[in-house]
Amino acid sequence: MEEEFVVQSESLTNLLLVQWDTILVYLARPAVQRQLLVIGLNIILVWLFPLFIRSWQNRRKGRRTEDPPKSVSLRPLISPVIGLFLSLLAIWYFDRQGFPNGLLDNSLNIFWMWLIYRVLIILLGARFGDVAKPYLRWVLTPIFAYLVISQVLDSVFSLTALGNIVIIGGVLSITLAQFFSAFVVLYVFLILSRITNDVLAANLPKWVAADPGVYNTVITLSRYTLIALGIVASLAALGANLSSLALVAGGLSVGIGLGLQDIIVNFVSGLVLLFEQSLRPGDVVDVDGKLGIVENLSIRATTIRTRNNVEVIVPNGKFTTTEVKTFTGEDTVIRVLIPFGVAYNSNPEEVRDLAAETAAGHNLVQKNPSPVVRFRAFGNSSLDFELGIWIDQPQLQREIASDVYFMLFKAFRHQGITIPFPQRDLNLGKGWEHMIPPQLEEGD
Amino acid sequence: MNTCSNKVHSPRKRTLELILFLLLIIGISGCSLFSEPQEGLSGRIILWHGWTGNESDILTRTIRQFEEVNPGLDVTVVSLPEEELLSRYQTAASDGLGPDLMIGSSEWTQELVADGDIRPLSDRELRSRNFSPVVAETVMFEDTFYGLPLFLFPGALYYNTKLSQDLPLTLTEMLEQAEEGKNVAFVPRFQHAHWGIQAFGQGLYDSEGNFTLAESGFTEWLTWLNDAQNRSGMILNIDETSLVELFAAGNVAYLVGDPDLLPDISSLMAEEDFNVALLPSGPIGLAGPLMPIETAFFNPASSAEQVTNASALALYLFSSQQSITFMRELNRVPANPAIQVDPRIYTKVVGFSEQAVSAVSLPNDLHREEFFRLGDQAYSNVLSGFLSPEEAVCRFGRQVVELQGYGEEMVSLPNVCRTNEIQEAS
Repeated sequence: MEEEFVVQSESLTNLLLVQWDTILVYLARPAVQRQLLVIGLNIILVWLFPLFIRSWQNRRKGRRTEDPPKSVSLRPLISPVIGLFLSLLAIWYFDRQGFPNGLLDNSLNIFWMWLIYRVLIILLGARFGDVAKPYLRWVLTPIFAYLVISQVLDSVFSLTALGNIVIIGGVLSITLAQFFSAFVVLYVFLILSRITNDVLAANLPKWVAADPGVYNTVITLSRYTLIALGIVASLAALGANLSSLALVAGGLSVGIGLGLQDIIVNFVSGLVLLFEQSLRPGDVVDVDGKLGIVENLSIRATTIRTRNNVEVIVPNGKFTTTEVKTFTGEDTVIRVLIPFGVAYNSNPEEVRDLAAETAAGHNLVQKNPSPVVRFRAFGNSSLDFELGIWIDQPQLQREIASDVYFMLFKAFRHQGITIPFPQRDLNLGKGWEHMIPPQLEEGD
Repeated sequence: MNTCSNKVHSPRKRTLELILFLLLIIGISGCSLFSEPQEGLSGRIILWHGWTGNESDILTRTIRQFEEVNPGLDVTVVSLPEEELLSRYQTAASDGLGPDLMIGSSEWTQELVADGDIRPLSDRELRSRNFSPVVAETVMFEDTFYGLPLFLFPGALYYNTKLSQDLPLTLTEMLEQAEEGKNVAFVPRFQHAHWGIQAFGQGLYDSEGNFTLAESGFTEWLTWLNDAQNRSGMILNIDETSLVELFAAGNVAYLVGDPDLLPDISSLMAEEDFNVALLPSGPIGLAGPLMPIETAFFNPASSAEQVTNASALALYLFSSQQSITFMRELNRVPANPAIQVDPRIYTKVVGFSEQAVSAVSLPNDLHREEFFRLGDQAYSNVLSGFLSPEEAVCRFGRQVVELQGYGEEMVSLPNVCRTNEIQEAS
């Protein structure tokens, strides 16, 4: 039942008063009281019956509070089925007596909806398990809630009249119905973007063989496209003239550009990165001295996981405005330089061969190009060398370098090659003997 | 101990909560339902109507005056789009909801009675109301009154006072004036142009409700129309809005229409430039337009108190004083037989009021929508030259007999129809 209060309902207060009076008139009618009484009793029985069953089962099973887990439980269907049965019984009786029973019909519809809702939850839960839970929460539950609320309100309230209430007056006149429509439209698009995101993330690699970065680009773009469409559709549902909106947006763009400069820069940079493909998930990068793997590229910021397992969120603007080292650009092979020194009495050729051979023994060091040893300088206390090795896992460069140092130390000791350390002679002169503690002299 | 167990409500606690909630609801409503009794009428009722604009304002004002007389009474007035009024009322009434009183067309009577959505009038509501037979039949079903007639809507002849002072009293005179340049316009469809049937014979139904097609002037009227559509100055068109514009622009001297057109015409031309008169009569009798009646219907689901209040409000709207108010301010033709329409004051209303005397009612057990569709077909078949008037009337007669399931004893078809049947059978 929907009413358009053309005469009486210019204001919200007036409308609510009219609706309240209407409800009071209805409640005074025996025909309505009878139906409400039956519906109330029905609800109580539907509520109590499962509790009674459970209590009875518990008594039978010796006070066991929970049943052992089963594959699929049909227990959630008991309440709606009982509600349906009792409603049908009441409608049949009212028909026989010639009583109006439209409200009972409405309650019957609600029990049907409840049953379908419960069946869908059971089926989806059985088919998809926990994966389905978020979708049930985001999609099925709001739909069920909306249907039930509108069914209840529609019986006693005027949804059209409620929808016609102006919540924002003036030039931007927005009614409650428009606001609700805009909310629903936006919500639908957000859910669609979420579902699209999940479906593409799970299936895109199966459907198309491409670089992971391409998948990420497609997923991110499709998500933000849907959100942008949702915003536009939502504004249209609010009654906004999109042409005028474009003009207003043009006027505000300078202000927005100044106020939200950083956000805009990051947003545009995100688009550039996505299209340019200069950065992809899995890349090893060094940003401001922080070395890490790119975990996720979103439209505003990029998430990098460092070796300390810390997630660093770097605004995308950083990647387009400053120098960023990437170790995984064209390929992932990088060179790591490992400096070391040996004593002056060592044979340089022997040191060169031994160091190269030792480094080549590490399983993560590339064989081609092979390790190279260069004689760098005659140091203060050592002959200085530099070992260059090639690795294809840049994120492990420090770990591999450490391993090679261990291996070199062991190999040099084994071959009797000394690794010197700086030594210094001190000439103390005279006049300080009285400063030696007596016990030290005794000890000597 | 399982921490979740603390959150589980016991059945007893839940039941107690539910009962408390229900008691709260009943308590809140009870505060208003069982308030102290006051002088005069008290309580609340709902009125639905399909009036709009100024008409709606005046109706609301009248009801507020009624509330002032009965300070304990609160009337919720709801205006709905006229085309949705019936369906919404039917939906609500089936729930036991809807208004206690609805102002709607008498043409809904049969449908509402069949669904049990309206109650018969009580003796008090009918006391001393000497309705004319036509008015009474319009709101009766199986000898019982199901609505209180408020305002009459018979078709009549609008005329432009600047173009014509010498009104046509007969159809022949009307044709002559049309040829002289005083154009005549009307919609050639069953409901709009039913008025000529009685001018050439009897109506389609007699007082017993028999389908008297043979005695009716339907064939002759269709013949006249078929001839008239080719005469100069006769404008037969189904676009009523255009006809009204032509009339208001002074291109048409005579326009056949019902009181519904008054607000439109008044908005387009000065009040003194047009008036309303009787439709021209035919060779056999006066014109007999169909006459819908704006009627007050009562909801059978109302409580005893609501019945009393709704009844009082309907009788207040029906009263002489309020009938005159509506006649004065809205040119409504009162159904109250006690009202004498003064032609010097109510110059337009009097035309409709006089026409109401010869207006025609159709039986309330008709499948009205389909019946009108068949009637429209007959008109269009003749005027388009697809069928002769005799053929169109015969087809209409057979279709109506089939639609209504009339027995032989209730029907009289023209002889030509019988002859055709024999020829078709052979």
